[in-house]
Amino acid sequence: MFRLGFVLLFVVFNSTTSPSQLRPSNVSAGDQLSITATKTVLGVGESTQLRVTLKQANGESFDVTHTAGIRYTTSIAILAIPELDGRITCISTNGEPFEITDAIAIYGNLRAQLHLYLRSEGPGQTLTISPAKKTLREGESIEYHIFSKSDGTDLTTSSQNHYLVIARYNTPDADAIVKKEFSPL
Amino acid sequence: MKNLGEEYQQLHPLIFVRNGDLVGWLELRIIKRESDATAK
Repeated sequence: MFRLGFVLLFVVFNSTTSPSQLRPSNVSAGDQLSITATKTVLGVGESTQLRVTLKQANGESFDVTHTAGIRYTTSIAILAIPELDGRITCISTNGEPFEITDAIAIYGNLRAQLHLYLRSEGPGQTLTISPAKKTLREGESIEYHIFSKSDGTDLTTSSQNHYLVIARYNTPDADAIVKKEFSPL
Repeated sequence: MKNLGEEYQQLHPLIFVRNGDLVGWLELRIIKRESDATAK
């Protein structure tokens, strides 16, 4: 009973901010964001999981990797794709044996970044996407299939598929076009 | 005579797919009428 009381008191006096209270808009002066990754050297087709920590000015630290409002990006979008959960996948080294890009986490007005070292050797794509065609006019739709590269399993309708659409050369219209045509796959 | 190439703006969206640990991606090319873009 004494131990339980002590634990409860400890929790009460050490919880000036709970993770559920975290908001990007609550970031204040003196707060710092830091970023680590499960690995920082990636071959084409390999992924790493970022972990982002918010250290508040009062000394408290929180893992904000999956907190609402955090955003991920990379300094060179054609080399590495950031996912919403903080995973980054190397998709290219742009024809070079090695490349470097930065993984970037943005939380409120805080920003942290980490060098990722990319190499051309790697597993490559482990899914094969087979579209009917690759060039479309605005308003056109395409059908395609998704297969596991290792055993040929047809995963086109798998509920485990997660999609990202990245408009590489962004224009004010690009996102709208792409989302309209491709998001409800 | 207007050069047809000037009327189009090419976009290159990338579709990235994950299924567990499996990943794949596909670059598409969208040809968009420039006249539509400037009309907006």
